[in-house]
Amino acid sequence: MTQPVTIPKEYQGNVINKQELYENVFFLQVDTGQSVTFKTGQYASFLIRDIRRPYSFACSAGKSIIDFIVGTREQGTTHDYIQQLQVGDRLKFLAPYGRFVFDGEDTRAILFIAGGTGIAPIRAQLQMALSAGLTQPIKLYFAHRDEARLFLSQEFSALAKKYQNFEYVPVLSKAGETWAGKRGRVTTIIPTDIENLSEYTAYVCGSPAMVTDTVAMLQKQGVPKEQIHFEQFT
Amino acid sequence: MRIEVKRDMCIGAATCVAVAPDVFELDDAMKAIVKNPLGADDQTILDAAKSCPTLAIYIYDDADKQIFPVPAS
Repeated sequence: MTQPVTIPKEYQGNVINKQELYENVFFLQVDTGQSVTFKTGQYASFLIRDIRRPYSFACSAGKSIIDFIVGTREQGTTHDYIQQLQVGDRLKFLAPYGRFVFDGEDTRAILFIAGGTGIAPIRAQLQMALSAGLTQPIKLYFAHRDEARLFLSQEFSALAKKYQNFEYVPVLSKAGETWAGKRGRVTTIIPTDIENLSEYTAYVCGSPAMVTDTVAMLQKQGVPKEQIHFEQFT
Repeated sequence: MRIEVKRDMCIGAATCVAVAPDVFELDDAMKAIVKNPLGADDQTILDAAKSCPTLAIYIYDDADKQIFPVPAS
C-alpha cells in the first residue's frame, strides 16, 4: 500500500532573496550550490533550531536555487525564525518528502486548484507543465480571501498571456467592490465554469477544509479518484 | 529502547517506514505506528526518527530517558 519513499538528505543553502508577499507569508530563494533531489510537488523539512517544519518546493525539480513560499501563522519559534531570516543567512533542510507529485506524463487536461499558501507546490507543478511544453488545456484556480492576499497573481497572469493553453482564474471569497473577477468558493465556481470536469486530472492544495470540500466536489462531478491528487497544508 | 510516535505531529510522510519497514507502518489514518519495536537495530530506528519531517518520533533509552529529539538543555 505504501508508495516507495526516497530517504531524505540534509541540504544547506544561503538565502539569496526574501520578500514578504503579504503579512506572514514570505517568498524565499535558497542557493544550495548543488542540484537538490526532489520531484515536482514534493516538500522539504526546514531544520529550525530544535524543531522541523515542512514547506513545499515552489519551483520545479532539477535546480540548485530553490524557491519556497513560507507562511507562518502562529507566534513561536517558526514564526520568529522566518521573520528574522535575512539574505545571506544559512538555511538547512531535509528533502525530499511527499507524494503530491506531478510527472507531466498524463495527457488529460489539467486542473490546478490552490488555496492560500497551497499555491507553493501548485506553482512548481504549473512551471513544470508549461516549461515541458504540454499542449492540453491547463487551468489554475487560485482561491483567496481578498485582493491584497492574491500574491503571485501578476506572475500567473503573465504566464496566461504567454501560453495559449493556460488559463488563470483567481477566485476571492471576500472581494472588494472593484473586483471584476470570480467571487465565491472554488467548489461552486468550478462546476459552473467547467462542463467536462471528468476529463481533467486535478491537483489540489490548500487548507484541510478547502481540500476536503474540493475533492468531494470533484468526485461528485464525476472525476475518478485516480485523477485527483491533493495535499493538505496544516 | 522505547519508541513513541507523536500522533498529532505525524503527517504520514512514511520516511520512517522507508528507513525501518519492519518497525513502522502507516495505519488507516495514514499515521505512523510502531508494529515491532525490535524490527531493526537501534541505529536504524534512530535514523528513522531523524528522517521524520516533523520530528514526530521520540526515542527513549532503557532508563526511559529521551535521547531523540535531543532534549533542550
